Amino acid sequence: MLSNFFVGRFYDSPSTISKLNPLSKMISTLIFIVMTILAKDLRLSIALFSFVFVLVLNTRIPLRVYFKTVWSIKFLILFMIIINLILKVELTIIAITVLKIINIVLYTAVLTLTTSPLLLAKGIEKILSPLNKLKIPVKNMALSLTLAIRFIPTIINEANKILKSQASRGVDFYSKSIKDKLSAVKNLLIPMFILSLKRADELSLIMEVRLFNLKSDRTNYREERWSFIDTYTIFVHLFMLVIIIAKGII
Amino acid sequence: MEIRFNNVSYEYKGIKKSEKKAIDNISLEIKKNKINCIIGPSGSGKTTLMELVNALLIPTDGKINVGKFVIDKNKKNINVKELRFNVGLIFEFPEQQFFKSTVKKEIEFGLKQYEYKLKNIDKRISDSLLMVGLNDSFLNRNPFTLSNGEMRKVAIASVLALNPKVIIFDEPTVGLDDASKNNLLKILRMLKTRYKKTIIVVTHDVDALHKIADHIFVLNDGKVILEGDKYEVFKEVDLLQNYKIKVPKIIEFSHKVFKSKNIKMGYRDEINDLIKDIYRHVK
Repeated sequence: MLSNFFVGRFYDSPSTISKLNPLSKMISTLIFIVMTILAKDLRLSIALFSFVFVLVLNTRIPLRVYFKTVWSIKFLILFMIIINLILKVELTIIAITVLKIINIVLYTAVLTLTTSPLLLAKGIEKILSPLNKLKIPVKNMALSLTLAIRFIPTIINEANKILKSQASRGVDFYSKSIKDKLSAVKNLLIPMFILSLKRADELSLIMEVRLFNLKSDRTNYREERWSFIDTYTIFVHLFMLVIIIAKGII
Repeated sequence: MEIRFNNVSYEYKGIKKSEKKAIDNISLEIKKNKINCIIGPSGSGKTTLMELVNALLIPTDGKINVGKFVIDKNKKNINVKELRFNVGLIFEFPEQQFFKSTVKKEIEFGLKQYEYKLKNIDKRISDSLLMVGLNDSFLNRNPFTLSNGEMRKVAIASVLALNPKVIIFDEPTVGLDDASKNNLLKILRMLKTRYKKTIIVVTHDVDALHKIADHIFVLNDGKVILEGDKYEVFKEVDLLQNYKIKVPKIIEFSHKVFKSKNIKMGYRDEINDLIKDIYRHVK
């Protein structure tokens, strides 16, 4: 019932992009988003789209997965086009905006599909680590994020069971009745809260039993190494960013 | 109610295309008014098979006849509500399927879905609780605070309240102690003999359920590799063990005795009967 719901989806593919350090991938994503926002020219947007497309091909993940991702935001794109047409915005600008959205969605899809959710959380922890000096509890935040990501599939699985349980007792999810669907969601929330609180309680006990100490420094089973290719990736992105900024100034 | 699978296959759709089908071209017939057990190792497709009967999943190939209903990929608009009224399903972990705050609300959920007359609902709820050995004192209790055995009974009662012709149990003995297991077996027997229900039990626990099984389907890698009554199926101890499928301990023991001492003891459900057999042979 929730089989089309891919949160924190990760596609284990043997590509070079998958093997990149999550930190470099996240920095590159940030640079790419800045580039996309700054690109105000249709040719530049097309060039960026071509760049993303090359990356997409290099991930060795079936194109249908990316197509589904873009397809899932069809209504957003449609809504945006309609609003722009009503406001009589130039067609070129509409095309640039659509391309910008598609570029960002595809690039972030490359990031999430090639990086496991736990590695992503680790990457976020590293990116935010300078905030430690400002006494912001980055470690706690990263732990909460890691645990939240870890339990997404479990929660989806449980939600699925509750929905199936309702379906087997007469709720017809194939019917288009909004009333049935709203009632299913309502019935979903109470047990999900109860089960989540139960699990959080059990998890805290388990962590305590295993002498988990938030204040101590943690090591990782697999050390994420920074390689030449990571530096190279960021360099390429920075180079592209400089070109776009320079073009904007000229 | 007749349940027949005709060349049914099912493949899970996900982000990655699965390498094998969860159900692979299965044709079988569930025996009416009998206890049908579906056994097999983890990932063999047992739960998928069960969900297909209830139209929670729609086959990717082939068709399933459930009484007058035909479930196939071209008929997604079958009257699932009516179908599910006739086919009750009890999931593996009852605590994960409750969604109401009291036992009463949990049981009446299905009845309300099928628009039962309100004046009949209370009696129906009490009767279904009674059938599983619980009384009215449970009505206002929170289902999440019950013991495992009680939760399972409430889950069964919530399905029995609808009086379906077919009842499917997914791993009904998981997490139950011996006393609760025996109690459950009694309920299953009663449903078959007194209420003439067709029962489908999906299980790993062959030790508990071989005693009451009338017909057994053995699944492996989405295919039925063996089917027949329990005597026919558990005769094939070596074949089942090759597929890493558990055989009831009592039968495994008899088989070992036969292999090492060439003493044939026959099929015994109860350990006491086996002890008598051994005593007779020793004498």
